[in-house]
Amino acid sequence: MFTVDREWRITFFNRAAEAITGIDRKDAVGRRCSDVFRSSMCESECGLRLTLKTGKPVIGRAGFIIRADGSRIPISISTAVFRDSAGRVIGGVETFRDLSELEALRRELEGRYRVGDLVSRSPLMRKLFEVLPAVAASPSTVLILGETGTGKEVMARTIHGLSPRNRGPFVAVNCGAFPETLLESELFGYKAGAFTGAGKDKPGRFAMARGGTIFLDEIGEISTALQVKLLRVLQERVVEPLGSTHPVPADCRVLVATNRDLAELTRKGAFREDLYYRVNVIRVELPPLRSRKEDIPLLADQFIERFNRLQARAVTGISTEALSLLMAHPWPGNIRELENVIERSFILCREGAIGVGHLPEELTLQAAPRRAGSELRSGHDLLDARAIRSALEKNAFNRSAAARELGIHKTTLFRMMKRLGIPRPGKDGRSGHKQ
Amino acid sequence: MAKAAFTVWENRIAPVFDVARHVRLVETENGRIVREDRAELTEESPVQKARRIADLGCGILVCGAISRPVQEMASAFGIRVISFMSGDEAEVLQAWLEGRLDEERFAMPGCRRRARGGRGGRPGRGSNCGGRGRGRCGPDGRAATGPAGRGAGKNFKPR
Repeated sequence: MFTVDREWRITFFNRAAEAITGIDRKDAVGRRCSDVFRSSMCESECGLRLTLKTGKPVIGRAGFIIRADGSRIPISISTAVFRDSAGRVIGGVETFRDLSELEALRRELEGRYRVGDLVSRSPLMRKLFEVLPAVAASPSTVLILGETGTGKEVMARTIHGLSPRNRGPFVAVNCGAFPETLLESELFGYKAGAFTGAGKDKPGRFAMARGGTIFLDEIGEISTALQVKLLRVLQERVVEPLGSTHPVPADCRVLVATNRDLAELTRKGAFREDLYYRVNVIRVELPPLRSRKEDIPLLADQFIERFNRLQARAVTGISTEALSLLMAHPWPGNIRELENVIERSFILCREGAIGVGHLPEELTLQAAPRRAGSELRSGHDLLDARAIRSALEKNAFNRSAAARELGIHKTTLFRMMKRLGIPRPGKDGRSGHKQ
Repeated sequence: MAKAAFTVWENRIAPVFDVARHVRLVETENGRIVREDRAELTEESPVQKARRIADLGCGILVCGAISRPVQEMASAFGIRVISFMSGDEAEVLQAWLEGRLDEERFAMPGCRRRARGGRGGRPGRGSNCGGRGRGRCGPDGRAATGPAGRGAGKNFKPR
C-alpha cells in the first residue's frame, strides 16, 4: 500500500509495496508515484487520479508494473480518497496486489503458449517459444529442422515477423522444387543474354528479399555445385547474377530448413561441411506432431476457425469421438496432414460439429475396415479396432497373445473381431510366434 | 548528427515506455539542437512502438521504465536505449545535451547507479536500469560522464 499527496508525491510506502516494487521506502517517499510505481495504468488509466477527481474508489483494476530489472509484474489495484482527521481530502491511498502467482496459475490452467501465429500447449514448444524472440532479434542464419509438415515455413515466417526486418519482404524458396540449373537463376537472377532465352534482366530471390528475409526450404536437396555458390553468398554477403560480372549485395537474413539429417549428409559427403557449419549457427528443432499430441485439439480448432472464415461456414468444432480418433492417429504427415484432414472434413460437414462420419476414410479405415452395409461406427469401435489390429500385428497374428496384451479373454477378442469386421488371418500366428 | 526520441507525458519523461503515447524528437549537430518535432505512438504493442522509433530515424531513445524484452528488441532495431529515466522533459533534454544524464536526480527510484572507475559506473546488481553506466551518452557520441567522447557508444550491450 502507498499514499500520495495532492501533488502525486508518495507520503507513505509500506513493506509489502517495497517487496513488490523492489524499491526501498526511503527512495520512494517524496518521489512522484508514477516514477516509483511505473505502472501500465499511470499514463491513461490512473485509478488514483479517477478517485481524486470523482471521490469514488476504484476496485480491482488490473495492469502491470515494471521493476528495475525490466521484469513485468502483473498487479491489481484499488484506490480510495485519503482524508485527514478533519475530513479534508489530503491525497489518495492505493493498495495493490502482486498477481504473478495467479497469472502463472492461470497460464498453467489454460496451458497454452503463443508466439506470433504459433500456438501450443506442449512443453517442448514452450521451450522453443522462450528463445524465439532472441533468435528473431539476432541477424544470424537459422537452421530449422523438422519432419515434413511440422510447420517449418510457419516458424520461418514467425521469426521474420518478430525480427527487426519484419517490414521487409519474406521470400520463401523450396529448393527441392527446382531443377539445379533453374534454382541457380531463381536464387541469384540473371542478366539479359546470359543464356538463350534470357531476353531481359531477372532479379533473383536474394535480390527480391532485400531488407527482409529469405527462407530456403529443403536445403539438403541442393547440388554440391550450388552449395559452393550459396556458401559464398553467406560468407561474403554478395550474389552474382548469371552473366553478370558485378556482385550485388545480398542484404537479407537467411533462414534455411530441411527434413533431412544434414550432419549425416555431411558425413557422407553429400553436403559440404563448411556450408553445414555456416548454416548451423542457430538451430531450431520442431518436434513431430506425435510428440506433441496435446496440441491436436488446439490446432484442430485453429484450422476450423480458418476454414470457417475462408469458406464462410459455421462449423462449431469437433466431436469428442472424432477428436479421439485424431488423437490416436500417428500423423506421419504432421500438422499439414491434420490441416488436410480438417479441410476434407469440411466437405461433408456443412454445419454443427465435425463427427466421425465426416473424417476422411483413411483415418477411419485404418482403425477398422468398413463392414458391408454398416453405417457410421462410433469412435469407440474405431479405437477398439485400431488397438486390436495393432496388438495382432505386434504378436504376429497370434490371437491368444494379442488378447493377453489387450487384457481380455481370447473369446472376447474373437467376438470383438467379428463385430468390428476385422478379418481373421488365414493362418493363426501361433506356429510362428515366439513366446 | 544525432536523432533522439524522448517518450513524454505531462511535460515529464513518460513513466513506462511499453505504453507511452507521445514522443519528442530532437536532432542535434555539434551538441546543438537543429530540429525538433513530436510524434504520437499509436501502436498497440511495445515492440511496434520500438519499431516506430527506429522508423522515425532515431538512434537513441531516452525513456522511463521499459520491460526487458522490449529493450532488447529496441537494441536489435539499432536503437541505443537510455532507460529508467525520470524528470522534467526540458531538464532531461538539457542534461542529455550536456552529457549529464547519469546525475542521480534523473534516475528512477530503485535504479541507482554504482560508481565504476570514473567511467560513470554500472547499474546495481540485477538492475536493468538505463543505459547509464553502459551506453551513457549525450548527443553526437559524447559520454555522460568523464571527458567528452569517452565511453559513449562503447561497450554498449543490450541486456
